[in-house]
Amino acid sequence: MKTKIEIRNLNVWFNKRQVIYDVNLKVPEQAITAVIGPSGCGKSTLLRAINRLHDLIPEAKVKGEVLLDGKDIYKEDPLVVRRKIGMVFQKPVPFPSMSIFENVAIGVKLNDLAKKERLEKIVERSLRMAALWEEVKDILESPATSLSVGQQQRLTIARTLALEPEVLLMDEPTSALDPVSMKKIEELIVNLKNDYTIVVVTHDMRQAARISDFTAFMYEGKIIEFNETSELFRNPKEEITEKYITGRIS
Amino acid sequence: MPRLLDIGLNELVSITKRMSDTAEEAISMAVNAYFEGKNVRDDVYEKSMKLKELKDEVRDLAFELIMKYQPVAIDLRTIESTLDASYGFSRFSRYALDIADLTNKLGNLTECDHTKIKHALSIVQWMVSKSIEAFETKNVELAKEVIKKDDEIDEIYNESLTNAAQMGKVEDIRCVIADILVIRYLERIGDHACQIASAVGYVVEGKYLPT
Repeated sequence: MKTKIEIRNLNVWFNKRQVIYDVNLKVPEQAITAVIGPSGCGKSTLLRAINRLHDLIPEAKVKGEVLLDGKDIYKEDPLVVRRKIGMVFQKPVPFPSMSIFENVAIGVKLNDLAKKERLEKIVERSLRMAALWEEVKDILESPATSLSVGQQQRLTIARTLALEPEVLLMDEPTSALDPVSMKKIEELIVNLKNDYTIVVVTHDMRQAARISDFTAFMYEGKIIEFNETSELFRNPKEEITEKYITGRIS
Repeated sequence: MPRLLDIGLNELVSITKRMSDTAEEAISMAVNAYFEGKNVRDDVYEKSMKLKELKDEVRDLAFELIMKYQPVAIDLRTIESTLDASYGFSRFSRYALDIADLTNKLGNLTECDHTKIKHALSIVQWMVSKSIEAFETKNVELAKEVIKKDDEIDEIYNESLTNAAQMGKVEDIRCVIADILVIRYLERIGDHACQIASAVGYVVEGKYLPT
């Protein structure tokens, strides 16, 4: 499989505390890569390094390379990087004063990427891709906060998709959701891999096993093991991976 | 604190142990009765049915554990290989029943020369007992020895076929038929012992040992 993102010797510090150590990882294109590991192991920090979110934190220092299609994102305009590499967070954060339509359109508007007629098409397409169109097509002007939490999460996915990214990063995208909403988001993620490269950080190993093609196991800031998901969960090579996924360490 | 899954896995081990004990008893009972000309078909059948029940118990518990705990890695491999082994144990008793049936069908065979069968039996009983030991102790080296032994029993079976084909006039054709059939059943028991041994590799190393 073609590599979409290549992480080389990545190290991250917050002030003097190092949280990521020499991470090397090749993320395959148009596949779902899950990152699992215990709380505080550096999963979310790694994900945020992939779209330069640490740039916004003064005490954060990043060293190493993150190549998107062979080009180091740390040598590109961060705004362009974040358009190509979209991020979905744990809790859906719709803009409360905006309608459903505006919530999806806002990124495109701010980047001045489309005229009004095209904007409508982009919003519809994004909502369709996020499997939300049928539920909201008649209430597009209603406030986004009127939606359920599960719908709001699909709305934030639609907002990310509206910018036509190449990569989707998802940081525990279902941890705030009920089982039915979680199932919908999981189905959505699996459908989206036909068009996007997806990296999902999850504390839910069963979710990683259900939806991902590849899994990276992180422990104490390091990638311990990376393999096809079915192989990693059935026959892990490293003892520490085995202990973690079988619940013998937490 | 033990994991909840461990309670279920221990129960699986316990049922498997009962299965292996019952399977070994069924083989010994059938073969000894064959040598002594006794009819133990009903007793072996009872053991065979008991093994079938235990096999179903293993299957039900295995699926319950998968449903409840969604096990992975060594836990999942243990469950998968226990299913393999429980099938093997039930097949042991199936062939034991075939052996017990021979006295019924062919009459008293105590006058026949049992040398070859006894030789084959000693190998197969070793294979059965060691495959069980290897499975219970997750001993890959012992499992490999079991698999290696399979060639010996195959050779005895092939020899008995060749010898029968080359025989001229025989005193009692029943002895020749019984000889071939018992060795054939023992050879099949040996094959299932190999399958159980092979599963030991899967539990420990994630790959079935080649048979």
